[in-house]
Amino acid sequence: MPLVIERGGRRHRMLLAGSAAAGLGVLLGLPYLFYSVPQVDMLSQMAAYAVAILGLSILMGYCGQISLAHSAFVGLGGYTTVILVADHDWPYLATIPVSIVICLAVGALIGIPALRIRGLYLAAVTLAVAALFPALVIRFEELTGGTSGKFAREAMQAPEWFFVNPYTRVGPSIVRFYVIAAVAVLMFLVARAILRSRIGRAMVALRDAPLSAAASGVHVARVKIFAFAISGAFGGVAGSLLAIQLPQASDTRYTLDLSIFLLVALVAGGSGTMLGAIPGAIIFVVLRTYVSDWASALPMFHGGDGGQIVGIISALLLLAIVFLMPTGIAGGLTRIGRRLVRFTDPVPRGWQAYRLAASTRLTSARPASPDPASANPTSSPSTSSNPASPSSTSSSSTSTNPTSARQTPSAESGGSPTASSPRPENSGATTKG
Amino acid sequence: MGTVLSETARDDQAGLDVIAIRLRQGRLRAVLIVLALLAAFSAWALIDGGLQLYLQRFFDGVTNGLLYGLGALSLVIVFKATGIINFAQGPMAMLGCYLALTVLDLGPVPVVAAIVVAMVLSGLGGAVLERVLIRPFDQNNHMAIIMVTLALFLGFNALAALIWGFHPKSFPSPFPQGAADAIVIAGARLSYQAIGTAVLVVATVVVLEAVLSRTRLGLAFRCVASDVERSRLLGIDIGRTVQFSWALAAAVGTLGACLIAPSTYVDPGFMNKILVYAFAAATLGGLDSIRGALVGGLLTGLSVSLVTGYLPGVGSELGLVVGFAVIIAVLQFKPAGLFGNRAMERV
Repeated sequence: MPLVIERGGRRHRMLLAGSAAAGLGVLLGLPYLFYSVPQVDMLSQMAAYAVAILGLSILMGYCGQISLAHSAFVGLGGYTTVILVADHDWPYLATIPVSIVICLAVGALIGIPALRIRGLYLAAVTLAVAALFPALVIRFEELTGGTSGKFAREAMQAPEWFFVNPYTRVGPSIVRFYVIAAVAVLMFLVARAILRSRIGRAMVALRDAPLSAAASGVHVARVKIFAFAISGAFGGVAGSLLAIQLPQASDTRYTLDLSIFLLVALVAGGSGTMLGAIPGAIIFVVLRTYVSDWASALPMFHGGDGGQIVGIISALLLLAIVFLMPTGIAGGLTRIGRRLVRFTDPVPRGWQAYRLAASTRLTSARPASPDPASANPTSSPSTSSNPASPSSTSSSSTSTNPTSARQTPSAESGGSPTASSPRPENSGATTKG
Repeated sequence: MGTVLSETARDDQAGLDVIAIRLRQGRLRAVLIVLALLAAFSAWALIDGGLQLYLQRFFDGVTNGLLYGLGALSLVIVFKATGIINFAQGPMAMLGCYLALTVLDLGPVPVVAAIVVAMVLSGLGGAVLERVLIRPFDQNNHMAIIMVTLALFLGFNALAALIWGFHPKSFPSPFPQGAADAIVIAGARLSYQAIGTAVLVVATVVVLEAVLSRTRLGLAFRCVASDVERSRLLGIDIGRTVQFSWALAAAVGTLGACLIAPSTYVDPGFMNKILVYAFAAATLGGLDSIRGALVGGLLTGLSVSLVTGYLPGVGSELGLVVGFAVIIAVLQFKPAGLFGNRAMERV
């Protein structure tokens, strides 16, 4: 018997606040848990790649568009940061907005062909972009340093007031980790806000039913371009963060393989969930560091070629996930979590105002119909007074928050005055009593 | 459900069919526009660099283009039958090329025999791949199938690097490759290898068309390509047909890689660049047209060769940019490609 918690209720809010505080605590404590330079650097990489995977997740998991161009965005962000810091003496953090702007613009440009085409053509275009990026880096050698790479002389320095002492051996790494983690948390919050906004809902609609979405007023073109641009911007931020962690950029760092590895991480972590980016990033970094080291040390491969073993393992991992666990790690965890805690949606206040006269007669004629869709009728106070009510509300919106689901069509249709006037006060009061 | 219109409208009564006439006119116009662009560029190039240079670039472009066309062909075959783009086609062809090299290493075998053995082996491999990794998924679950092909892309590249290493290897040509083995036309060399490649590619397309139009499996293939649901109702074994298309595509891809390899070199990533050109060719020709793949390959090869050869500031390393520009331009102006059929959605 799982614990039932109503969304938006006091316990739900406490749970959210508690888990946020716990997450923050873990994030702050992590570098002191692994008190060594390579491991703290690895944590920083995880935080940075989590942002990249999150961007990919917005595009693929939420908007349903496939992209292999993410390595190009990560590279664009990385080169922006390194070039601005090395050639123009910018502070590191100030370069992040610049790479956001650049990647937004480039993402929108790549998104434009996405309007004409769907699915596979799009993947082909983005694959070409990913293959193109290293060639462009080599072509514009005076700007990017070409094949020899580009380096910034000084790593990021902490200001005087920062609470970590940078003069210990691990200090600078920890400072960088906190900065990267702070930006990453910020990006997660931004993603959350975007996905909950009107345009985020439009993305999901576009993924699930493109024709219906277009028919109910979603601007398909605008939403797709927006998704591409946003995803590109997240990739750019990730590139900048990686450049903060290790201030160098080279053409071999941002190849098509990086895109595919990011895809593997996304699918393994769970696409279509925001938090799936975190296990995805952990898998990504662990594969590329620990597994690579382990494979290089294997005697049968003459001590070389650890990367090849990683490639094969990643391919097998991707196949296994696609076959056995299509929802990824986050999906699996959610399924386990649902056994322990179950969230129900509150019955929206004033739902009677939207009930049609005919359906009123119909539902009241059938007394106490058992409703499989509503999780637990006793959880909300209003259901006890009217047993037929949850079947009319919660069957229409089981997954999303009913209040927003109820308001979206009225906001969408705009012009019709009858549907767009919510009257919560009169009917809501009667339900409570 | 996508319905392909013009395939059925190519019979005798097509003259009366308004849609077919429109389609044909549109196709003709598009081809004429492309040819006019090419002719204009050629005229400028002739004035700029003279006849000999132009002819040389032209021959290079045509030879490369035919090979891109072969790559595009293997994409098109799978796309026609399943509606997916096989991203692993490049690495699959690369593995086939390595197989041919391995056969050559085993003993004194003629190059042609080695290529044929590699084609057969990779055809079998393609069939096995389809059966094991692709068929378990719903055909309409494109995202999962793309993931599988990307996993194959990653895995095959890594596998080849693990087994054969990163050192570039040279691949012997089945045709005479010496400095003297060429026809000289107005000072430009047209090597026997180029001629042989061209003949082989055209022969492959002719044989393929014959197989698809004369044999029972080919008929089933075309039926599945036009409508999966109806073919199933007609009693066609969809799985077997799709498997056949994967095997065919793998064999054709291996042939393409073995023909490209003598002019480049063989290393684990050598087909990835070709894959982009093949995409460009397939997009230009229309992803569901076999003839279109060849024509698209020719045009792509020509434009890459001419643009990188003549435009100042576009070096040979930017050939990929030209391929990319071709893809974008086609998608912008004629998304179905020159010879492709626009899929019509019934709502």
